[in-house]
This record gives sequence, structure tokens and C-alpha cells, in this order.
Amino acid sequence: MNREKKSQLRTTASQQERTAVMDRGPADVPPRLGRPDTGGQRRLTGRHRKIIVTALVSVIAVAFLIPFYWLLVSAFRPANRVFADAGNFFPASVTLDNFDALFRETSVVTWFMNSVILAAGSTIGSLVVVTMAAYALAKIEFPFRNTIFVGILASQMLPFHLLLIPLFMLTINLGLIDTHLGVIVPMLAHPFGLFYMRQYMLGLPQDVFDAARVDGASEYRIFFGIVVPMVKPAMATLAIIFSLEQWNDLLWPLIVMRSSENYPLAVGITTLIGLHRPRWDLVMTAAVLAVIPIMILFFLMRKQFINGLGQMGTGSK
Amino acid sequence: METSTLSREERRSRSRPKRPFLHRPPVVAAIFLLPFLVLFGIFRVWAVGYAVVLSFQDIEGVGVSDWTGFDNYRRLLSDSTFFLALRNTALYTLGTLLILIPLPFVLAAVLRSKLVARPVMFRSVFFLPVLTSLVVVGVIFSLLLTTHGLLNSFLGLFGLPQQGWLETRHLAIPAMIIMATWRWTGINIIYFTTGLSNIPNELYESASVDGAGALRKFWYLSVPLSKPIILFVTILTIFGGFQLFVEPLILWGTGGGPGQGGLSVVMHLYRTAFTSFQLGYASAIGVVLALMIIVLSLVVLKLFGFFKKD
Repeated sequence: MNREKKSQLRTTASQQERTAVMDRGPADVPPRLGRPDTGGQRRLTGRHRKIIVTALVSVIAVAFLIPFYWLLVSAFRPANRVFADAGNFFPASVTLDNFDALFRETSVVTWFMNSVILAAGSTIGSLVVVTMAAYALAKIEFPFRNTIFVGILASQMLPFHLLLIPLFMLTINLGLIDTHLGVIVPMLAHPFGLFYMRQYMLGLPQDVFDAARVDGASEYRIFFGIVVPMVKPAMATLAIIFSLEQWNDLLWPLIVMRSSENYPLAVGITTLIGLHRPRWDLVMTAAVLAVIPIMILFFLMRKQFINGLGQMGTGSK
Repeated sequence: METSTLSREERRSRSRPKRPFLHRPPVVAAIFLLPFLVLFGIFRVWAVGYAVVLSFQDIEGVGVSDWTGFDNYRRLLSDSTFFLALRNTALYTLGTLLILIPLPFVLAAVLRSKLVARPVMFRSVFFLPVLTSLVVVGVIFSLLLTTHGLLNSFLGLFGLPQQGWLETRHLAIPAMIIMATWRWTGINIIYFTTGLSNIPNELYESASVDGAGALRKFWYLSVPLSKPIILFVTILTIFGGFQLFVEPLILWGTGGGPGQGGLSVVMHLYRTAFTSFQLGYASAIGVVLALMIIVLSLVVLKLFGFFKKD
């Protein structure tokens, strides 16, 4: 569909030339789709233009890739050269010492595991909470349904930082400070997640539900037997969004987690920078470790990432 | 809609007398909504209310509090650090607006135009920074922006003088705008691509028939017809800009950068709350921040609305 549109655009772009030069019939004839190559001659200027524009975009794209390259190269530079050589394109010497030091001197493996636990916990928890609520809001008729939904969405307009202090005090009072639950629980009711899941459920064919209800299935059976299997794609998208958000979050875990063995990776990296003498060699290598899982996931599920995050309305929290 | 009324009738006519308590629709709905509403009620609704209440109190640490009315807000009006943070944050937001709307929009249009080979690959490349946590972005740019770093080497190629990006007061905001450009361009490209693909193709076709070239079609069709998505991205950018925190934290710690040139409102809030433990005053900063974001968003909506009627 998208591709169809694009090829249509291409045809229209060259159409005016074509009608002018070649006089190929009335101009209001709709461009043909999926037309094979229209022959070299006529598209010569178009092809030149394409090369130039592609080259320009490539330059920008390379500029966007360089920071990743720099991170990677710096992680392999000797510790005392990280900043001294920060302007050199190629490393003068390559070493694995930084990784060695990272694993020996910091609890990076624990931090990494904490990040995994937090991401998995908040993803599963949010998915359960959000899917249940979305079903009620999309498919069950009850009073104030829309008021509740709009109210939840409207809350997205408030910045998270307004909640920082009350949530901090609440976490202390609930005894959740410095625990994984303290990081996870306050973020479980995810308004965007609810919005996305409800929209998805509204699109499910109603006949299935009616048929099940006529057959006497309870709402609970309908939910587990029909809804959950049908919304799996939406769950996959939300799982990506939730886990990415949690993996990359800094501020809330920074406030909740007190002891070093509870830090997720992001907080751990921050403490390495905050040292009296920042350990940039360790910071660079830890940053590489933080990026790698996401990059692998991205290349495995590129489509879900781009679609999912593209729809991700008002962002996090 | 239609079908849910159908099921209601059905309920009335047949199953109502037999239906046990746990299977009545409002009860079922309540059960399904319960986990979300409880969590939302405590950690969002109650927390917002409590933040407002706290902002009228003087709290030293946790537990001891005095009701002080508008004192915190009065103090805010004479807090020069707050106004410095506000100025920095506003400049940062303005800077990101000036770059992160036009640049991704043009890139999105170009990548859709078939003037570029392999647009999907390019879109992925621009998208990669979006996946990178702000902590890592800060780490990378600490390297790139250092005095002997890449950006200065690059400027040197054109004979431009080296800049102390991270050591000069008035360069703190531009440094963070450079970071923001790298981090957010990709996601805005995705938003704009979605917006552009909603424009009916017939419009472009008839414009071509009328002899409009690519640039004219871009300016007279793509831009005006993308107004809703531009509005959306503008509000998101303002929203994000005013919440600036992680970037200055990674680049300069809680110090706020050279001469506090990188101090943001949220950083001021954070320091007030978690360094000096003035939780009431910090709450007042949070309330004012929230009000500013809401008012600014409403103003933008209003502005766009006016343009629409013309």
C-alpha cells in the first residue's frame, strides 16, 4: 500500500516532463501503477537528481552514525587515551583492558541483570494491567466509560517531574525504597499503553464477541479465550515500548535505588561519571553494553520498532 | 457502539434475571479495570493532588511539615536561580523547535519522494539514536564535544576556531541542542512520514497536472496539509524541552554546567528536592513547571487554530 503510493508519486513526478516532451496523451490519465522501467533517455535528469539527493542524505546519515562509531572506538582505546584521542578517527592502539576493568572493578553484571529484571517486570506487569483495563474500556458497556478514558489520557499532559516528590514519599512509606518493586509498581498504569491497546481492541470484529456471548460464554472466558490470543500483536508492540522505556530510564530508578547492588545499568553508569575522578574508560564500555541488547533487538524486529514507536503519542510516563 | 447496545438489549430480555453478580457488566468492567484504576488512582491522581498540597507546605526531610500558604510561590518569584533555569530551559526548547521541526520534516518528505534510493535503510539509520538511552547519548557527546573532540576537529577543517563546548557558559545550551538533534530527529521523521502518507495522492497528481514541480508541491501541499502533525510534534517538543534533565546531569553532574549555563528547571527541582531536601519548595517548582507546559501547549493550539481559519 505504502509502496504503491510511493511508486505513484514517482510516476507523477516524472509525468509532467513526460507529457511535455513526449506528448503522451491527455495529462489527466491517472499514472499507471507498477509500471516497469520507463526507459533510460527520459529519466536521465531524474536519475541524476536521485543520485545527488541520495548522496546528500547519505552524508547526513553518516553524520548520524559517527557517534556510535565513536562510542565503540573509545571503548577500545587505552584508558588514558579516551579523551586525549577523542578527535582521532582511528584508534592508535586497540585494547580490551577497559572491558576487563569494568568486569573486575564494578558490579556491571549485577547492574545488567537489574536492568533485565526491571524491564521484564515492568513489561509483564504493565501488559497485564493495561490489557485488562483496555478490554473493559473497549468492549464492555458501563456508566462513565468515556469519562474515565478521557481522564486517563488527559493525565498525559502533566510532566512526570510534578509527581517525583509525592511518589518518592509514597515509595518510602510503602517500604518500597531501594527495591525493584519500588521502581516498577508506580509506573505500571501506563496511559499510552492503555490508549494503544484500547484502539487495537476497538478494531477487533464484534461478531466474535457477540457469538461468544450468545453461546453463554462469560466475559472472563471471552477475555482469556478470545481477546488475549487476538491482541498478541498489540502486546508485542507494547512489550517493545515498555521494555525500552524501562531499560533507558534514569531518573526514577536513580531516586528509588539506594544501594549499588540494586542499580540498573543507567544508574550505574551515572555513578561512574559522578565519581571524584570520573572513570571514563569504564563509562564507555558500560555504555556499549547498554546499547548492544537494544541494537540487536532492533535489527531483529525493525518493523515493530518503527511502527510501535511511531505511534507512541505523548511519549513516556 | 451499535453492537454494545445490542448486547444490552439481549441482557435485558433474556439473561438478566439469571445473571449472577460477578457477571453483570458493570461488575465485570470494574473487575477488569480495578488493577489499572487502583494504580492510576494512587500513583497519578493522588500524587498530583499531593504535589499541590506539598507545594503549600514547608517540609524539612520527611515527616515534619508546616502549612505556609503561598510562601513557596512567593519565594519562587525572587529565586534568581529558578529564573536562570527557566531562561536556559526556554532557550533550549526554542532551539530544539527551530531544528527538530524543519529538519525531520524535510528529511521525511525527501525519503518519501522517491528521489532517494533505499529510504527504509536511511529511516532506520536516523532512527537508531532514538533507541539509545539519554545516559548513553550524554556519554557519547561528552566525547564528541570535548575540546580536542570530533566536533572541534571538524570545525578545524573549515578553519573555524575550537570551542570549549562543555566549558563555556553560553555554549551549554547549543551543546545540548546538538545532542537533541541527534537523539530526536529519527522519531520526528517517523511522525512526519505518518502524517505525509495520510495526504491523498490525488492532490499531488492534480498539482502535477497543473505543472507544479517537486518544490512547489512540497511547499503548497505537503507543508500546509501536515499542519495537524506539525502541531502534534511541536507540542511534544515543548513537552520534552521543558523536561530537560538527563542531558545536563550526564554532561555536568548536578552542578548545572559552566556558570550554571546548563541548569534546567527540572535540574533545579531535583537539586532542591534531593540535595537540599526542601520538598515543599521543590513541589512548588513542579506545579509551576506543569502549569507552564499546559499553558504553552494551549497557546500553541490556539495559534495553530487561528492559522487554520485564515
